[in-house]
Amino acid sequence: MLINIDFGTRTPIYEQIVLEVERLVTKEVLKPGEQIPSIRELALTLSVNPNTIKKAYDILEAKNIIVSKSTKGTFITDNIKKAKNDKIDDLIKKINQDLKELESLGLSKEEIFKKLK
Amino acid sequence: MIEIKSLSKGFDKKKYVLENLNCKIDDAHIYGLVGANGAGKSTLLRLINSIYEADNGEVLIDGEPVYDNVKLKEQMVFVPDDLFFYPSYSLMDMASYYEALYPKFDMNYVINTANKLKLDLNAKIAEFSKGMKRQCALICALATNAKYMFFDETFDGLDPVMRKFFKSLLADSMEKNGTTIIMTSHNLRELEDICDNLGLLYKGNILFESDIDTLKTNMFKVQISLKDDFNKSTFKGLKILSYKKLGSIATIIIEDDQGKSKEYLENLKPIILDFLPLTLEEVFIYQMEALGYEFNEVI
Repeated sequence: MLINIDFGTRTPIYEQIVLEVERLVTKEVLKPGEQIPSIRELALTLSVNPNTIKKAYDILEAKNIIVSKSTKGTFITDNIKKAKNDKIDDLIKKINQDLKELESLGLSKEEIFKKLK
Repeated sequence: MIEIKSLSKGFDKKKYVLENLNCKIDDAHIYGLVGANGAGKSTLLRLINSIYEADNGEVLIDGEPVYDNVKLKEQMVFVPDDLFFYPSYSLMDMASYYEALYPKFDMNYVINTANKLKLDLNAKIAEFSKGMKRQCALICALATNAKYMFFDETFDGLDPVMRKFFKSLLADSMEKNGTTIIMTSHNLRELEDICDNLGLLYKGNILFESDIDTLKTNMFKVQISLKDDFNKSTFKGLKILSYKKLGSIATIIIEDDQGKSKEYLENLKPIILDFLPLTLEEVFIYQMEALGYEFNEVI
């Protein structure tokens, strides 16, 4: 699993890992049931504090995107539908924010939609 | 867990370098210590490692006082800012010396790591470059498998590739032994990448500490302009660290939950609303300002 961390941004490293795994899962680059690196492996490859990776994995697990099976390792869950739906909700939210900003510039919804391809 | 209780230390009678310092560091965490030259960072590390005796207060590790505690010292390793090697020692000699002191010392680790770094195990360390000397000291320290490690500006002499390499070794050690690490550096960017918590030492005390992720996300700069006239009290629902208004645009430093702040500000129907992230340097500047200190004399 290839994750690139941008050490320059203000987005916390754990959040970058969560976002990247979500992205890879929703695009099915990481397939359901696929094994992902252990906390130790990822910490060593990225040269990052293992607590940071653990925090990211805990969040991903709470979101039902990964499961850790105690001795076998950590895997992508079989059901990634929810991850996909969450991603869709996120994007819709973003679009709504942009819509609001366009409306504040004096455009009506119809005008905006007309301009969209 | 490391507990520091009302610790004081002075080198002449009039002035304390550390005064009544209290701090707790959880196990399996990396704690970064920042502060100006002379703030007391090295003194604190030397006190923890019983190189100095405290004038007042104490340092406890796992509930026991550390001063001259032989049993605990087997669990602690300290890499100081100014390294010391016996004049004719090679890395191999140095490792054997450490092996005699630390029961869990791993000689194979030294050999393997030195080979990876192409360090000659039998050459005199005195003839090595500054960075190579640091590498030797770090390898020996990590090979002790001590539960508590202390690094005083340790990465400062290493090139970027070595820094990354040793960060991975630290991660490995934390995963293996649940190592607790305290490190100092002047490179805030670097501390930010690997530490769990950061503490700012100023005039002998820890002025402010926080976990890194809160530091990164819960403090930000906002540029805002409203239709109607406004002043600082317009934003009284938020925790404001700094407020500056020029013409019709205000720049505010807010320390609060970002989502909540965004909602609050959007409800004011702003004409302009921009969220700008802060660098760690800026976070410290504004924290210091809020505490009434000037940045220039601090970092």
